[in-house]
Amino acid sequence: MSTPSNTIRHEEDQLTMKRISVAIGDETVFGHLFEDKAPAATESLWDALPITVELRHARRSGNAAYSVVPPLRSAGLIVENQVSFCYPGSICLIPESSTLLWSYGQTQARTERGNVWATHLGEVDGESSDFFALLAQTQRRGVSSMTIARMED
Amino acid sequence: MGRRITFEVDNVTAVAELEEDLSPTSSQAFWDALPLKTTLMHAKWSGETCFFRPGPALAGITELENPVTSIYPGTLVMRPRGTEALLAYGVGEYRWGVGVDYTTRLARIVENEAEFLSTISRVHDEGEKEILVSHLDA
Repeated sequence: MSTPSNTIRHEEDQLTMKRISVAIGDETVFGHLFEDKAPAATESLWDALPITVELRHARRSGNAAYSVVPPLRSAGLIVENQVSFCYPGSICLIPESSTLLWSYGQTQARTERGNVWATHLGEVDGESSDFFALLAQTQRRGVSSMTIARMED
Repeated sequence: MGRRITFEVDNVTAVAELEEDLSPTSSQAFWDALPLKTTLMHAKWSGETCFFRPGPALAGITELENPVTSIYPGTLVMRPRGTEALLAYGVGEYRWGVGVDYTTRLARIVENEAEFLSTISRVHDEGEKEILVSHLDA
């Protein structure tokens, strides 16, 4: 396996994307942020890293866990790269509550008012079944802890 | 006054009254299914609610009675066939992956509501808990 870099260069669009590591306990996955499609959200999250946040199971959005990221609250973010359903492996941000949704199955961004739009901020890379299982376990086991960091060269 | 049942979680007990006028068939079947000792988990679509599986004794209840979507705090509701029963501790609405759906009201808490709802609200952070549902004075 090659050493991961903190950026990915896509040949087609020549865009560079920021890469992150996401750890729950001993399980770490890597992901990338959509700097081109969600520039404000990406920049705000990137600036906040590294950060350790509480991870809880979604109460309204289905098969996802969520983490509130306080530094995003003051950024005045609006929805970018707009989605409602979050595919497994997606990293979505609900700007109004500074909430990152980590989808492991059927997920829709919802609040007590119903469906809302979210920013599709990035994706987890590669095979992630163990990571998904840890996200799902928060429903039975309660709150957990997640550390999000920049990938270092 | 209707027939009364108790919920017990983490040694905290609440008394609830069956909604026999609103759901005579469902509440009778639920009464007949007691006592229940099962797992209380947090809902993932319906907001500030917890749910448990009432078990196969309610499989024959196929129709809704006086259906509602909102689940008021302290209210116990059930899906047809007893697939799940939900207790709200805050803002709750029965939802599923495809959206909002209906439920039947089974009971509402009439004693020790605040302490009991505070206890089940902790399921979100502390994880699943055991719930015991019994006839009052059983």
